[in-house]
Amino acid sequence: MLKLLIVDDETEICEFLKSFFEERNYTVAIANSGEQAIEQLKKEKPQVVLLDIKMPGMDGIQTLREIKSKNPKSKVIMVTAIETRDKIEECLRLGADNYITKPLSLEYLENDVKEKIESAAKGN
Amino acid sequence: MKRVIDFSVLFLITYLSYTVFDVFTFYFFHSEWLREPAILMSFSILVAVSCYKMVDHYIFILFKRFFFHHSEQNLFTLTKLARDLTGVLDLHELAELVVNTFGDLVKLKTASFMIFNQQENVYEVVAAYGIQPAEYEKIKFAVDRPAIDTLRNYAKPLVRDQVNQSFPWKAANQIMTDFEILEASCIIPIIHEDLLLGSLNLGQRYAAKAFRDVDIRFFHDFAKEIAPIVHNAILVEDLRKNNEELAQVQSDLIQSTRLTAIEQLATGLAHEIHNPLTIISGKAQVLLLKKDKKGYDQQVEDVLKTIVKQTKRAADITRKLLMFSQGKGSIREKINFETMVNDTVALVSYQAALDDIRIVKQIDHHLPEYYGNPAAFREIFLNLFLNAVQAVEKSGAIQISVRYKSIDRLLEIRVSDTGIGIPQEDVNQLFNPFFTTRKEGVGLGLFVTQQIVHRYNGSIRVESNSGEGTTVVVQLPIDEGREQKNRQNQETDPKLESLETREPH
Repeated sequence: MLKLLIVDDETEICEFLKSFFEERNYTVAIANSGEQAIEQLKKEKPQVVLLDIKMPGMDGIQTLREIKSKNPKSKVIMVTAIETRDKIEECLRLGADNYITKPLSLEYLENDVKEKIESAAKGN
Repeated sequence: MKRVIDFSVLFLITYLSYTVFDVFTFYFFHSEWLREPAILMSFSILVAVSCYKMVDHYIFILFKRFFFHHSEQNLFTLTKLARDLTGVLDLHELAELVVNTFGDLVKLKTASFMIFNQQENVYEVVAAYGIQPAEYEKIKFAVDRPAIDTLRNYAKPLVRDQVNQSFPWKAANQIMTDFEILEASCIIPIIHEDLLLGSLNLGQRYAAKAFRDVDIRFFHDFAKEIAPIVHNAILVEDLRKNNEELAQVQSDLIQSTRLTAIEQLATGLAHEIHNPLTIISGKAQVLLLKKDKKGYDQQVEDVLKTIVKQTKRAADITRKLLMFSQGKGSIREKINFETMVNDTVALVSYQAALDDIRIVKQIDHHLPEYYGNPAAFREIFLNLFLNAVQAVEKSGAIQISVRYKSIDRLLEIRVSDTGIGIPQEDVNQLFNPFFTTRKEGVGLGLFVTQQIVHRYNGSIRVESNSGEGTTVVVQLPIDEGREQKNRQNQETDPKLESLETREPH
């Protein structure tokens, strides 16, 4: 089963991504903050996390650090409105598996999610 | 010649005193024996000999006045120069004038002018006669340098040949080294209100004659006379430097404030705008991907596609703004200018054909290797082309050339159009962000282009007159483009591509 966690403080974004991925037979969990994301991660054990960088409270980078420290093998794709290169570099250094910029190309995103799940299945 | 005059005068004096004595003894002593020629002769010679020294001095002065007219003229010129310099406030002009006049008139091999530089706390040569600029510009004396120290305390001209007699051998040796460096045979201090402003360093004379005390004294007087003028010029120079610095700081500040403000604005905008755009575009994409199931009519599909496309366009504006204010460390590749121009021309060719615009390309086939961010360079060409197409409006020509200027080691990109041109008052504002002359323009094209060009240490300028078309000239130093190659190798993370690659199509 394909399981996905979408983390974004913008509920509308979570909603359409959820409907898009559910249409493609994913099970989708949603978190609107970094703190929620950590909880959901424990509960749902998703294969891939889509993680927004800019969020109030615990931001994407802190959340990423937390996720990777608990399970370095979990797949995380950073979603960014527009961030400085430094921030994106920091994410990649912290172990993010990719990043994608808003507005999102859903086709690109889906392919990337698929790829990450496949590579996770191979044990990378 | 002088000998002849000397002898004639001496003879005259002897003869006169002989006659005077003769008459004197005859009237007052009535003594015949005293009028013996031998005695009279001895007396008159005695007088002549005792007068000799004094007479000789006057003869010398007379002689000089009549026969050495030239040298008198020189002194006169130098005195006049000192007076004329009062009006000169430019330190370098003043120094040049002094050394050149000295060099020419006194027939010196070298002459140089040393001035105190307050900012660096050194004495430096600012002008010289008979020494190459590359040589003399290197001469900088610290304030505690032996020659400087001696000039300050001694406050009198230093003469090379007398240094050994006037100072202990160790100090003399050190001073001699400074004489060597300055290629001088005498150094005249320029002192104003007990402050050593600098010095006038005079080299050897072509005639290989040493300076006489009279000459040195005259030079010293000259230095005293110009000291207040030099002092003024130094003040003016300091003021000018301070002013320049202030202006530079001010313009840097304005530039950086403006940039930071725009950066902040853009970052804020990007975050605020990209989320709603993502929602709009995302929902439209969801609908589009469902089209097979739902079977929309063509109109609905077109509308959805337009929504996706236009949201991307809106996002591009903010992204562009940010992309170039962040810039560092983006990917570098070898730029193929020919392909790049062809690609860009292909992009605008449809619009150009509609408007009856002819495009002429002139690309050197043997351009040197240049490394840069291809996306950034595509941006440059696209911006310049779009501006040109929009300037021409209906029927005209656009000419693009990429050339290598080997002398300056520059790549030069020129884009000219036969369009409406830009009024002079607007030319200066072209590179300001959000400045546009078009109703639907955003005003970022040239701003962004300039940012990129500056990042490659290049320059960009616009030549235009209303009604006469416009030429944009971009110059990029080749060495900078080569260096990028090394930086490119430092990029190790294959995941990190340039930001603009992660966009919906």
